[in-house]
Amino acid sequence: MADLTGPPVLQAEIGLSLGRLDLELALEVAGGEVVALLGPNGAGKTTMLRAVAGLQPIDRGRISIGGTVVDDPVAGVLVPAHQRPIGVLFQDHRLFPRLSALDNVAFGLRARGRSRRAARVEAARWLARLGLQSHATARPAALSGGQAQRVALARALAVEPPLLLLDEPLAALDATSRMEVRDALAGDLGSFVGARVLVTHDPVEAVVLADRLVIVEGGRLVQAGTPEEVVARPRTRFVADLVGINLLHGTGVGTPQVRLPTGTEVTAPEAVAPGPVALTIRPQAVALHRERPEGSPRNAWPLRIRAVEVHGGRARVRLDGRVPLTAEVTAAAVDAMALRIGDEVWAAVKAVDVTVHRR
Amino acid sequence: MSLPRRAGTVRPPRAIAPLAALAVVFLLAPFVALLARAPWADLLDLVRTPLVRQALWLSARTSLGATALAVVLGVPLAWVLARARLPGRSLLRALVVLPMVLPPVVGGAALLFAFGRRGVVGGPLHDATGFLLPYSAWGVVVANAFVALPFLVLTVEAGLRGVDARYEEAAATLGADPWTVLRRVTLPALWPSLVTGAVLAWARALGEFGATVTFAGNLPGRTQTMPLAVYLALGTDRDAAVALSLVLVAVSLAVLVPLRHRWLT
Repeated sequence: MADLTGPPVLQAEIGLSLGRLDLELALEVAGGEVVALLGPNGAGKTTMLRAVAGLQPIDRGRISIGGTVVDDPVAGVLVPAHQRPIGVLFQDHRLFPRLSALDNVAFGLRARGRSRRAARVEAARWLARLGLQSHATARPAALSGGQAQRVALARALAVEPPLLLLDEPLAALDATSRMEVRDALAGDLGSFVGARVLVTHDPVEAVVLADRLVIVEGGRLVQAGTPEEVVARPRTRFVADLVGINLLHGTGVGTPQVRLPTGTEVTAPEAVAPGPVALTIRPQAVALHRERPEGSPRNAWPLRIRAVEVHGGRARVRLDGRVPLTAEVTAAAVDAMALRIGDEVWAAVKAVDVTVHRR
Repeated sequence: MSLPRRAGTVRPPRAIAPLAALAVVFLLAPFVALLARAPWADLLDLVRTPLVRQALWLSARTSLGATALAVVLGVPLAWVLARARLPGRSLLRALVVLPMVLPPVVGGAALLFAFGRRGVVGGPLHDATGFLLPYSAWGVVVANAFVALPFLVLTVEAGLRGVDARYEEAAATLGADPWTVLRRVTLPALWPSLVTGAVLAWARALGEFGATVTFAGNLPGRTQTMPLAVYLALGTDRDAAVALSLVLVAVSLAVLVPLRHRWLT
């Protein structure tokens, strides 16, 4: 669990101009906390991460890691990357192509002064911990994208950095392995005690993996808060579009039914192993009906309309009740159904539109 | 390896074929003549004569020494050219290429003015230590290195541009200091270019004539390398000249082996 009482592991005020990017962003991360920097491509998220890692000096501001100033242009302080207590997981894994998986994981330990033998023993332990021991002798080219990414994670974690930076760790993977690796990563990171900063443009990745979201657009912070807060109350249209996703927390019980804290059950496409899970549902997958719907939808709840936001031809209908949901329908449907705030409507979601994520 | 694909279906004009054939004859005839003229029966004895053995041994030492010098000086220079943000970099590269296009005799003369007994560097050096580069084996090394350096620098620079800086970044975030990054990430990736550059430089140094004879003279046993010995022997002992030439041809063919991926595709 996040230790939010201790001093922040990362304190960064970053001012940086790079090409067309003008970055002006402050970020604090507590020990054990997972913060997701979420924003469109080109928002400055990766540049921010590179500045923290020491791969990009800042123009203005100050970065401290674990209470030590590592970049302060006014004071003339710039600690190089190799002396910062960090680990980085790159989007393109960057495993050294000539080294085996084991030697890749051992690299950081060797660079930080372990003997070759001790580093290898330790590296083997990390690979085993992530269930990758059978790939120890494999070159990166022989690994699948997901395996390579997890070996890279083992490599970053092996030096036990107090601060782990993850730069779009899943973006380079194809859609199928992506979900698998996301769940695996969530599990791998579960026992990691350090602070984490996750850069992503994928809202599902952000809401599922992070304790706190920081939404970035054009080099500026637009909203920050827990995933639940941001999803429930996006402050701008931009944020609403970006995190336009329904996020529910619940508990698997070994059947397709997932129990929400309110006691309501949501039916998933297949049996969900017992334990805490997160559910995501796209707003477009939520259908609205005046009467109780018949037919295939396995999930249908009578909910109350809290807000209706019309933008062009589309409308977002925010619903309260046993399951807080946002539905996206056409503006024409809002007119045709005469939807008004306070009305009660039936919201229906097919089980196949419910995505389950391990927490 | 895949078969080479024809670069189109349009037939070349017929006049090309005889000219191409003539080019092949032009390239091949000297080698055939050399082989035909070779005193095969006496070859081993000829290679064992003091003149040939001295030249062979001197050439081996000086060309390898020149290669080592080119590597020690050339790799850092290639690094600067490839990586440093430097004003006037294109001028610097032009300077690097200069010994490649300069007539070697001019290079040798310029070396004399710099490192000769009255040269701007050589004068004070001689006054202080009594050491004199020209007409010594070290002079051969310097002359060879001067003409060989561009081959190494340009090859290694191209190689460095091909080394993916992303891996160096990854190594840095894992705690590797710049020296460790160089040793464990950059050099292994650079290795093929370094070998190619060194072999090219060595081949150039081995065949060097003009700068060597101008700067270091033609003293048997001291500065008379294989090419100089071939030239001299042509006037006195043709059989020895052919034998020496055959040795150099064999070495040149051997050089093509590590470089085959570069040219023989």
